Amino acid sequence: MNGTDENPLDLLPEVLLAGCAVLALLLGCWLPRHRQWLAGALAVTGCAAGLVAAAVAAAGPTGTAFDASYAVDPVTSTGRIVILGGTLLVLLLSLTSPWLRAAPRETEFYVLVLLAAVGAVLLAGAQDLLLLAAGYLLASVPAYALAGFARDGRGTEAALKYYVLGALLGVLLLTGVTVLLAAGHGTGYPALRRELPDAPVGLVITGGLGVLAGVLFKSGGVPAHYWLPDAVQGSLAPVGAFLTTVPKIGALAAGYRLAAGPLADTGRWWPDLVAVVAVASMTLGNLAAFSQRDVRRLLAYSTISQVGYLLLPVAVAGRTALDQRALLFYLAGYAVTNLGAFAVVCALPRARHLADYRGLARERPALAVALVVCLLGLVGTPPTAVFLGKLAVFSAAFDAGYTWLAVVAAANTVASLFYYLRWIAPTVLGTAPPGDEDRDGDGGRVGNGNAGRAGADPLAGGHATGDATFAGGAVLVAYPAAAASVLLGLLGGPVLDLLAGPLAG
Amino acid sequence: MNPVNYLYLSALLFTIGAAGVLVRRNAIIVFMCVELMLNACNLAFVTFSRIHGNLDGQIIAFFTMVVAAAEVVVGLAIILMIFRVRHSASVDDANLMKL
Repeated sequence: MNGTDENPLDLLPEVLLAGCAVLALLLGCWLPRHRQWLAGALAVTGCAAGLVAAAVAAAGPTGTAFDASYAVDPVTSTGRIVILGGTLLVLLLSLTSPWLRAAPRETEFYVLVLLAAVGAVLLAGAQDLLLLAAGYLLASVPAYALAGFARDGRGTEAALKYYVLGALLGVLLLTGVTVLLAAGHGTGYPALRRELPDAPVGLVITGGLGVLAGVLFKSGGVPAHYWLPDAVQGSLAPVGAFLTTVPKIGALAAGYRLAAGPLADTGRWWPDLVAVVAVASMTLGNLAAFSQRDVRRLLAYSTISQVGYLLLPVAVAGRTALDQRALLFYLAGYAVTNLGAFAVVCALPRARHLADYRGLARERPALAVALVVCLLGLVGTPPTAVFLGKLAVFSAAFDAGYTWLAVVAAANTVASLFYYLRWIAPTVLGTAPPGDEDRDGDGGRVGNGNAGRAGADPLAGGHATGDATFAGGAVLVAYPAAAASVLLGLLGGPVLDLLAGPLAG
Repeated sequence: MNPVNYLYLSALLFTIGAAGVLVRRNAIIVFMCVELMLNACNLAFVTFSRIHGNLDGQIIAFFTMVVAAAEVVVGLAIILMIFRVRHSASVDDANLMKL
């Protein structure tokens, strides 16, 4: 606790992102509608510059910034790189999508994405409960607006559900912060770690529950997952990709930091509780995914079950040496694989149901390969990144003495193969007459060739002329993401070693 | 005055708000109840700040007020939008998407 760590350059990636958001908003005010993509280009530039700054910071020493309230350590660095990379892919998905091009509020979309990304990064690095609460709200408020961006019936309903649940769980998070403040006489993690073991156990557990509620909401874990399927199904596809990837990374890093820091020495209630939540998340996510026919809803439930696996290292944080590497590697692998699957969904805007993918392998073989790689990746098939991530996560749970947790997670992994295969089978084996992907009439919220009306109404959008069945730009994200998923799996060893290193503070 | 009394008041406000969120159907009322819970938190923050003799709680209370204002703006916009689309502000009527 001294004044020597007040160097704004420690926060360069965050400053770049926030600055670009403000600049893009100003730029958007003055640009004519058909040149609003420049704001998107600025946002992409900001993300890329932030990525470079984050990579430089990752190579530098571990430390804290601003009175030890913000950590610059492997967790923050990996969080920054994955969040910025994910945001970059989402921005590319949006820029190449026909529905956003020259829409009346195009600039606002990029700005909201950037601000939500800043919030997620702050969540990952926060070492102070105040910053945690601020990061939660900064990551949530733009995301509510993004969910309802299309302003149609479903999008609005998704935004309402997302908002009501988010506001309620945000209050629970703040209540948790209040109680921890009462128990620990402070908000900084180092001080809390000293004080909490001597505080009344009831207070610590109540506070921990409140904070966990906030973390679960942002990561989309059971029992705070109700918003996720509706938000992903009802909002635009790139928004769904964003909501299921970027805030999760920040929230899980925040949960890990809490578990390894202030709550580490307060007893076994935290690992046991988070283990139960993890099992509920992976099991209920899988069970609900079995019966889905809408691809986005299926992906949403698949992410809920993925959060279950990702919560394993959060549960065993500080009880094994493998936890941090496992969490960070799985997060990176999950982000790139999930974004790849969503990119394929974005590329086929009118194929909303599993049946619409019948015969994709014949018509667009490359896209089908990307989809199959990403879906098998999400299952955890070698040699993809998620396979290594799952392996690392299971060994962390095993190493910490939670063998039953590793066994349940492995059983759930096998069960999850079923619903991914329900998607893969028609894609690879099915045959369909040319152009049959778009026979589902209600699919076309996007790309109807009429830019001014883009996204106005999902039911009316599909009847216009133009190539609405294939948004070619999205493959620019789908192929690299699928390739990265495999590459990250092949290069797993060296990458895993990079992710080790002590937490700051 | 004993600062613990403020904590009792805060707990009471929080309970009223939580009951309202769980029981009421109108989105605006749900929303106001959430704000009531938020302000119960703020009161507790300031009280703990007073009890501990440091400023941590007061700073959080200020932060919460500012950010909650931003949240309110977005929330009211969403409720207004759903009222335009569905002609109802009841959270039970939002049922386009289900399992």
